[in-house]
Amino acid sequence: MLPTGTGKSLCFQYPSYVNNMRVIIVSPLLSLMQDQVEQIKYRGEKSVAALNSFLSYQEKKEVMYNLKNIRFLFISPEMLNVREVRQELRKVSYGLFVVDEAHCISQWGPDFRPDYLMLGKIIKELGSPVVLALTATATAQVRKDIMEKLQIQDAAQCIYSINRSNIALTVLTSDSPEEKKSELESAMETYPSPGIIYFSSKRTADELADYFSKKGFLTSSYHGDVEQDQRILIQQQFLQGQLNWIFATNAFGMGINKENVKTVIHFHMPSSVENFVQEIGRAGRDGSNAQSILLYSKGDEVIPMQLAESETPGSSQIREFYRMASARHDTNTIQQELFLSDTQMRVLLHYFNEEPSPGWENKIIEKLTSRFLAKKKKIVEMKEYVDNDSCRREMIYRAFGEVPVNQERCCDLCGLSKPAVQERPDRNAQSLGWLERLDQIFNRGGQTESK
Amino acid sequence: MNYSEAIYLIGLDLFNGERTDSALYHLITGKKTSQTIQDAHLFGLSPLFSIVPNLKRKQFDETIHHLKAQNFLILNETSKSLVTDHGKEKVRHFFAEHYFPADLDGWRYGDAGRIFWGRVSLLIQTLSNLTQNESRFFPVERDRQIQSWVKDQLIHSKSAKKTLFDQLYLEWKALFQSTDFPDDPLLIVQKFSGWNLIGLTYDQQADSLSCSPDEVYYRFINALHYSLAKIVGKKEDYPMLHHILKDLLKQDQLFTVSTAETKRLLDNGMDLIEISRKRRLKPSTIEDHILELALLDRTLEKKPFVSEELYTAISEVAARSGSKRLKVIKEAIPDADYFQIRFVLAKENGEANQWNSYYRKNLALNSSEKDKGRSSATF
Repeated sequence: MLPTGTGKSLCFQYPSYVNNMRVIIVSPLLSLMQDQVEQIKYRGEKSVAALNSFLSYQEKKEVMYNLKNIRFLFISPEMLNVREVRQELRKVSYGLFVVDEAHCISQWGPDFRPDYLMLGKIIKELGSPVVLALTATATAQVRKDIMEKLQIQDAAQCIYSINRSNIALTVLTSDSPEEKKSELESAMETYPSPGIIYFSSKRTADELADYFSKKGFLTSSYHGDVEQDQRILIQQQFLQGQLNWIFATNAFGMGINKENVKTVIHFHMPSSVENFVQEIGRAGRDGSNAQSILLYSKGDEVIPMQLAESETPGSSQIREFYRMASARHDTNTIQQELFLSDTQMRVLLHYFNEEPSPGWENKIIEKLTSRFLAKKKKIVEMKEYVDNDSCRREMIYRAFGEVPVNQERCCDLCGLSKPAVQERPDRNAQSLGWLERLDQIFNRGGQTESK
Repeated sequence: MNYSEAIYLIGLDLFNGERTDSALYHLITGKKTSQTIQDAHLFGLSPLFSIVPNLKRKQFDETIHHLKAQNFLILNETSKSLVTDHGKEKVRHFFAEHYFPADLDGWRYGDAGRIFWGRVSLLIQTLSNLTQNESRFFPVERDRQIQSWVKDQLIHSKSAKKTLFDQLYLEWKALFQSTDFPDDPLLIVQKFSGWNLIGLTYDQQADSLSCSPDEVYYRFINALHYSLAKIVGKKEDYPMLHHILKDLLKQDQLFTVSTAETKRLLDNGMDLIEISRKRRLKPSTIEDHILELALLDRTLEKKPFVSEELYTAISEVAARSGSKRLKVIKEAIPDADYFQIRFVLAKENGEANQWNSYYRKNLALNSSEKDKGRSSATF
C-alpha cells in the first residue's frame, strides 16, 4: 500500500526491465487504463497495450495474437474472464501479475466489483506468476480480504503511512446549498490553482463548471459521460495550464499525472474516508505544499446514504431473484420485473453463479445486509471527520489503524495560516481571433520562443 | 427549441409522413443498409447521412418525444410523424436567428471527414511539437490507424518537416480566406492543438462563440464539409490537404457490397430474375439494390426496368401530386407496378438537393438580412 502519487507504477515497470519479463496489469477503469498506456508510451516505451471492451474486434485480435511482443499488458477483469483470451495468455509467460486498485477486490472495499473475485483462480491458471497487489487506500480488513481473494495469504506486505504530510486539511461548513456555492467561489478565489473539485453527481459538476466558466474561471467538467475525444482535450489543457479547475466526479480519476495540483476541493462528502484519502492524494504530487478543502452543508451525508441503500437489493427482491434465476428466466426479464439496478443485478448474478445452493437467499441477504451496514459505518466515519473538533489528520490516522504523528502544517483545527489571495488568470487563449490562433498553433508570430 | 431539434424537424418534414422516426435515426447515425441509403437520397436528406454517428438511440427518442410533447410533431394515420404548422413556424423562426448548415454533405464526407479530421489534427499537433524540438507529447488522437498513418507520412515524406508544416499552414489559411468560406474559421481553428496550445472542447467553443455546444457541433461539421468539397474541387490549390484526403474518397464505398455485386452482374447483361437466381437472393432484395443504383449511379439505364412512356407518365403524376407516396401514383397509373414507381422516383430524385432548396424555400431570409446574418457569423 502506497499513497497516491508516490510511485506505484514504478513498482511494476522497473522489475520488468531488471528481470526482463512481461508484466500483466489488471486495471478496473477503462479510461484509466487508456491513460496509463498513453503515459508509458509518452516516456518512450512502445511495447505496451490495453485489452478491453473499448477496442474493436480487429484491434482486440491484433493485441491477442501479438502478446509475445507486449511488455506491459493492461487488461480488464471482464476480458480476463473470456476463455479465448486466457488461452492466448497461457501461451506466453508473465513474470509479474499486477492487480491495480486492489481494494476493488475486497467486498469491504469502497469500489467492490464482483468480476474481481475470479482473479485467484485465473492467477493459478496462468502458472502462478509473482503477484503484486497495489492500492493507495486499504484498511487492515480490506488488505486481509485482498490476500484471501487472490489466494496469497502468505504475501509480504509493504505498508506506507497513509499520511500525505504536505497536504493541509480544511473543512468549510455552510448552512444551505446556495451558501455552499458561494463558499466554493471564494475557495476558488483564495486557494491556489491548478485544482480538482470533486462532485458526487455528474449533473452538478456540469452545471457548476458552466456557471463558473461564465463567471470567468477557466473550468471544465470531466466525468464518464464526457466523450473520449473531449476528455483528451480537457486533460491536456489541464496539463498545459490552459485550465485551472477541473470539476470531476469521484468515480473518475484523472488518469494523466499532473504533479503540480495545488488544491483538491470536495463539493460533496465522499462515501468513505478511504475514498477521501485517495482523492485528496491527487494534490501535491510534486511534494510542495497543497490543500484539501471539504465543503459541508447540513444533511450532505444523506446523498451517499441513499446511494448505498439504492445499491443494496431488498430481501424480497433477493428471494424473488433466486426463484426466477433458478427457473432459468432471462436475465433482462428478471432485472426489469424486479426493478434491479445494473449494479444490483451484477452482484446477484455473480453470487448466483458462484454458489446456487439451497438456503442461498438467506445467505445472500445476510451477506448484503452486512455489506450495507459496513458502508453505512464508513459514511458515519466520514461524517466524524467533518464533526471532529480536535485534529483532522489524527482522525484519518485512526481510521487506517495508524499511530498519529504530529506535524507543523496540519489542519484547520490545529490552526492554518490564511492563504494569499490569488490573481485570476486571464482567458486570452479563448478570445483569440482565428488568424492569431492559427499563427499560434503553427508557431508563428511572437510566441515561439523555446520552452 | 435547440439546434438538433430544429435539424430533426427539417428531416421529418422532408420525410413528409412517409417514413418512421427510426428511419431518421438510422440516417443520422449512418446505417449502411439499402433502405437507409435510399431514404437519404429519395428524400434529399443525404446531407444528414452519418452526421452524428455516435448518437444514442435513447437520446434520439427523448428528443423526438420532447418535440411531440410541444406539438411540433403529430402522428398521421400510418403512425408516422408529420411536422405541424406550429412546428414549421418554429423551425423558420429558429433559423432566422441561427446559422443554417447549408454545406453539410454527410453522404460524401461524413465518414471520410472524420478520418480526415483525425489525420489533420494529429499531423498538426505532431509537426507543431517536432518543429519546436519537442518529441514527447500526448497525442490528441488515439486511433491506432490514424496514428500509424501520420507516422508513415512523416517517415516517407521527402520534404523537411518545416516545409510540410508551412505548406499545411498556407493551405488552411488560404482556405479560410476564400471569399465564400461559409462561417467563422474559429469553428475549425479552435479545435486544432499545437505545441503550446491545446484545442477547445465543444462546450468551450460554445462559450467563446456565444451559442450552444450542439450548434457548434453542426457548424463545425458544416465548415469541415465545405472545406472538403473545396479541397476536392480545387485540388491544385490544396495539394497537401488533398493528399491527406484522397484515399478516403473511394468511389465504390458509395454502394453497399451486395449492391456492388448486383451492379457487376447487371453490367454483364443479366436481368433481375437471373441475378436473383444466381445469387440466391429474393427478387425484392435485388430490386432494392437496383433502387440504390438508380439513386446513386446516374449512368444506370432505365430501359431494362421501365418503358419510356411509363417512365414519363409516372414522373408527371409524381411531379403534379407532389407526393412520393406510392399508393397515390399507383391509383393514377394502375399499369405500373410498385417497383417501377419506386424506380422512377429514385431516378428522378437522385440528384435533387432538397436540403438546400428547403432552406431557400422555407427558411432563407431576404438577401440583405441573410448577408447580415452571415457577416455577423464571420465576425
